[in-house]
Amino acid sequence: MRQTPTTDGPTRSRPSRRGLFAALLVVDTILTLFPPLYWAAGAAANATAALLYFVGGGAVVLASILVMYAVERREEPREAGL
Amino acid sequence: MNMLIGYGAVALFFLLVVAVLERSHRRAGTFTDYAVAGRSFGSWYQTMSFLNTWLPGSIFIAFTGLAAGSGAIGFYYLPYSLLAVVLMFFMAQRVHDWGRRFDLRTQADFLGLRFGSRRVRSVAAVIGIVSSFPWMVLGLQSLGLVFSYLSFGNVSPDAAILIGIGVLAVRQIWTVRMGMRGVVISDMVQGLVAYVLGLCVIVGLLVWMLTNGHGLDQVPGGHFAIPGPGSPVGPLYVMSIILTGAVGGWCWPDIFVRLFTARSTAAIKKSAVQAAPILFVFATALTMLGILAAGLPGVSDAPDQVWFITAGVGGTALVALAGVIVLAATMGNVDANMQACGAQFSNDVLRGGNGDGGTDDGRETRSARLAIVALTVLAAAVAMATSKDSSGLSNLAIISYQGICQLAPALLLGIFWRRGTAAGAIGGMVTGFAVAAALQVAYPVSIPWLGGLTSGVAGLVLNTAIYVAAALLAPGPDAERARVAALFDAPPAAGHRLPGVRPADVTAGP
Repeated sequence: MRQTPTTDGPTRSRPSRRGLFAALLVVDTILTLFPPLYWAAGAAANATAALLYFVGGGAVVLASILVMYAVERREEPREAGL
Repeated sequence: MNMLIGYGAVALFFLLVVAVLERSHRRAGTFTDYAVAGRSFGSWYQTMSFLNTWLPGSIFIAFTGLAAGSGAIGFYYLPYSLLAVVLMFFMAQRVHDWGRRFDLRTQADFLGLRFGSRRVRSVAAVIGIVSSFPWMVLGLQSLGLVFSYLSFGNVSPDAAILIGIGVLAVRQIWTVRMGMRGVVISDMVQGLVAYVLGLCVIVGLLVWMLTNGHGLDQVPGGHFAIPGPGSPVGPLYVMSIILTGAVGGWCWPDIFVRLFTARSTAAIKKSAVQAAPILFVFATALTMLGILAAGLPGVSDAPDQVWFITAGVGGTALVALAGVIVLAATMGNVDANMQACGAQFSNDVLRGGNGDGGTDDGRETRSARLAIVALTVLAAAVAMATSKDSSGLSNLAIISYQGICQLAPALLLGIFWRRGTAAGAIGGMVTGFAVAAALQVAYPVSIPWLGGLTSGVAGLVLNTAIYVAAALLAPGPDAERARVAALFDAPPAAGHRLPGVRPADVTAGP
């Protein structure tokens, strides 16, 4: 956590953008590549476990991309057009 | 009549793509225009262009076939595709900035700049082109199934392959003429048909199956097993194929160049956030379709034909539409591959090794066009010669995938870590490529004594070790470290670099 001084109130803390992105990358990597996770899902050999691993894991990675973009967009100007 | 509908639908789609291309035709003024479309495209063009290159027609054939034949493991391209989008998000800023500032046009160009080395540039270019060539041939051949199905039995499978090769070879006329601008613009049309219309068809077929007794409860239990400890392929196999897909994806020249065609870093990041949900929904729905269709008559005998067998429930019109969807996805992949490799041959093989870092736009554009023509003719000739038995070529393509991912340490560590050197990059790439190719021949699926690692991942481990060891033990001269530091520390580029001012020292050095 990094202390970020603000001008409109008392000092508040928020995670740095780089730290947040690194944490999301670690979570994504573990979810999709850490063997014990798919060993556990595969051992069950049922639809729920397999879908939870692949589709659920994919949903978390997707969510992390959306979070990273939202965090960046708050700090940077937007552009329009195709 | 059925054949008329099938081939007529293909002809109509082909005409639509050509009409859009002709309406948007603009003469390429510089080689940067030709190779990376002048870095001019916004986020939606980038999104469709990325998808159309990332998800080829084989997604509907081989990948859905894998889901139908083997079950949930068919989902494996979902996590690796999304991980690749995460990587896109992280790579975007530096790759696009350096590309704009130094007028980079290809992946090999980028590596040449990063390592200040013509040899790195040439080695990367050759690995990229050699690894891509089998996929160009397979891309041309992949439409055989489409034209066979759309003929409704009136054209033999061999003749259908030749028709597919002919159609895609003719399509390259516009790739040659228009370069990357044509590729990206046609990707929008092709992408809308392949992934938006395609998703509508997939959802319709899923609804039909779920309401006609083909639910998850009808799928054999073994279809939900994921290879782990005790499996024939080994406990680390799934991790290997996901890792290879994610990091290897960015090593393909046609994928990497997407980071140069955008008008800004913001456009790339926005395209990542637009592509990810489409990828997620599309890949989930299509793989689920394959799994549910496993019980349909004929699918277990020919899982690769599951897309057409399933579409058959909607009659001739739906089969024709299914064929057009596969054609749209295939076109985008083949033309991107041809264009990127042609540009890389002209930019990095012909000129990369001659010591001339300057630019001659007219000559480079002409040589890139000639290279694309030559690649098309060569790929079409090989595709025709091997059309009756392409198993050797398929093996070569799989080997090439394990080979191309050997660019990953130099590419990814080169972007994020300033300590890598040219010697480490070349040593790692060459050793990794050779080891991966040799292991792939000996162990085509996975390596039992490495716990199920694939040859590509085994090569990657060695490759990365060489790259890191060289960076730490022989960090290079002070001048080179200062050059790299300046590269990393420079503020983001603003505005277009004018053509003709490409710095002469873009790949200065040995």
